[in-house]
Amino acid sequence: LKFLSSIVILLLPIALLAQKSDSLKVEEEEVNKFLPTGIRVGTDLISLVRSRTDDSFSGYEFNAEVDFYRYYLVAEMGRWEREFKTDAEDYANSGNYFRAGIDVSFLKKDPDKNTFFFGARYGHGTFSEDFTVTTIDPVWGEMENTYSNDKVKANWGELVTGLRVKMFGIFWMGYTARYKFALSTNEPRGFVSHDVPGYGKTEKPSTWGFNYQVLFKIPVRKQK
Amino acid sequence: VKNWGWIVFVIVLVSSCLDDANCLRSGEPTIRINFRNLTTGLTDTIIFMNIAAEGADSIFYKKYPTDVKDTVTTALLEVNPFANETLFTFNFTNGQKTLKVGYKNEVRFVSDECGSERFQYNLKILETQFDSVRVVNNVLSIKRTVNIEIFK
Repeated sequence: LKFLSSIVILLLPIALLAQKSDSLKVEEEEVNKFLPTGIRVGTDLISLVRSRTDDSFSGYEFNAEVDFYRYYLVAEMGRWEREFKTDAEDYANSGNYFRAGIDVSFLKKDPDKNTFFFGARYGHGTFSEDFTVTTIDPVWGEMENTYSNDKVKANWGELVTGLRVKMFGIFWMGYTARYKFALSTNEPRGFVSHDVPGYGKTEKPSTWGFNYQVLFKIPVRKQK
Repeated sequence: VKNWGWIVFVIVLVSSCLDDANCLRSGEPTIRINFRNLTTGLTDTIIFMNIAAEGADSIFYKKYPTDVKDTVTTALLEVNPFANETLFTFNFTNGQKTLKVGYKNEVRFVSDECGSERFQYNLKILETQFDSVRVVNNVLSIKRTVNIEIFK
């Protein structure tokens, strides 16, 4: 009995050490899963196609995403110019914008880290716009007026959802659908801003947007 | 995931169709004037030949070929949308009285299909020969709610 108790006393610290090392390993894995596996950078195909097919639009947008387990830090920046001409009106704007936010993926166990996500964005744009209009009034006659808004700042929020799918190697594709809301602009009264780069037309308090992205993932850590 | 993808796609497609601009307008450069009795405050009638606006060829409430008296309790007058003030002259059989209003203009480009629209806001009385005049609504709109009350 004495011999047996001596063995138990001798083996107990070893068993405890082994258990400790297992729990450390689990903890380490928990921490490691939040380390980014790579940076996805890409561009919006719809903006590029529209620039070629739609005479009233010219623009581009770049995206960057970094993963922290199932959470993604997202930054998007772009530029657009629009021009609308009618017999009586001539409107043109140009400006830059960025969006920043977080996406949460709901595909927790996908081996390729394909994502189906929901997220939120803060959007900010700076732009200038010009408008020339010829008005014919039955009482007051005809008059041509020119209006300008320079360096207007705009802010808005977005709720987003979308997919990112690994096609092959580092090449990914995906889409982002956006519900844009709470637009505020700081133009002086006299000429109401018509179109905000990154947001769209200002006539409604909320609007929709859609991007189809091609992305390349630059790996920074081997994915488990 | 595939089903969710399709649901989102359909929602976006339908919403983009609903997002088309409509051509509803809310601005109109017309002021509505109500006439009231100075002592009772009740709606009253006014009798005039016509109302002229400085700078406009048109004359409001003028009958052709011969001008006749108009008896109204309310008058609709179009302000000059290209200026920040308009002077109206009310021509009566025994004289005339003037009312000069000031306002600010704002323009909005609606869309290439719908064109643009103008708004007038911050309506004020600049000068008048009427006994008592007050602004009750300083925004001119297509609803044509009462903007000015003239007490006589």
